[in-house]
Amino acid sequence: MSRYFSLRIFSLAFGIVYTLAVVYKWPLFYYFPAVKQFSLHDLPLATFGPGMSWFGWIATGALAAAIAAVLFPKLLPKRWIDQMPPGVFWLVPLAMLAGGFFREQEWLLK
Amino acid sequence: MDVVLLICHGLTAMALVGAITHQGLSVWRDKPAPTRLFVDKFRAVPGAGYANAVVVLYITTFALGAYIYPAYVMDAKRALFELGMRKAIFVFQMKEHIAVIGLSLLAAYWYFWRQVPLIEHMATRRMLTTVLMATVWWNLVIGHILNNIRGIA
Repeated sequence: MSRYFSLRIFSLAFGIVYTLAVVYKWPLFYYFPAVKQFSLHDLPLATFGPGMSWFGWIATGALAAAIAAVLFPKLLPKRWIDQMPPGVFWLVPLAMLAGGFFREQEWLLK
Repeated sequence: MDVVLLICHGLTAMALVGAITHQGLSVWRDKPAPTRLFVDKFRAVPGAGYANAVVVLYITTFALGAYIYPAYVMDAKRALFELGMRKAIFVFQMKEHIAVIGLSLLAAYWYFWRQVPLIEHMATRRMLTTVLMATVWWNLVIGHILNNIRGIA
């Protein structure tokens, strides 16, 4: 399986792209729970109610990570992936936490 | 229906926290521990045996939570907003990001537990399991508090 799809790359790329998607507002789609409707674009609040980006951020991260997990093992030397330092599995979650805090800090501001 | 799913979400989370805590404590053992004390007995488990269960329970708990999330946005979040409880909303929003941290790590976590010999990559396995355990515990406690927030407030 690792020859065609790297689970390690998938995890790291998911975390990195999710963080970028949250910080720069790149949801793949929006969901409007008031009307139970998906949309590729943000729609007017007055008509459709509040839009949810969270599902779209996950989709952005998962899709990009799946592509990276297929391509990177073909493009990068195997030893680079095998010698990945364990610290990256701390750093990426910390970056995700920081990205989430950046997006949600408005709730702490009056 | 949402209440039933919320209860199922809580129950799978309880099973998940049990499994990941057994594994999370056992992964830090350097050698087989004597099993006199409760904590030693708790961590004296073969950690690899929990990996599949943790992945299945995490995905199930996450999926149930994601399914009822829109109902939270329409009901609970609106009520919290009208009560001016912005910090509670912040904590819940962060809970959702933290849940994705765990979700993103699952692939690497499973790889290092099930595809790599257990004597290799110990440090990575410890990091992944510890981060996953921390996310599960944080979300269980915060989710429980937020679920009861109307009673507390």
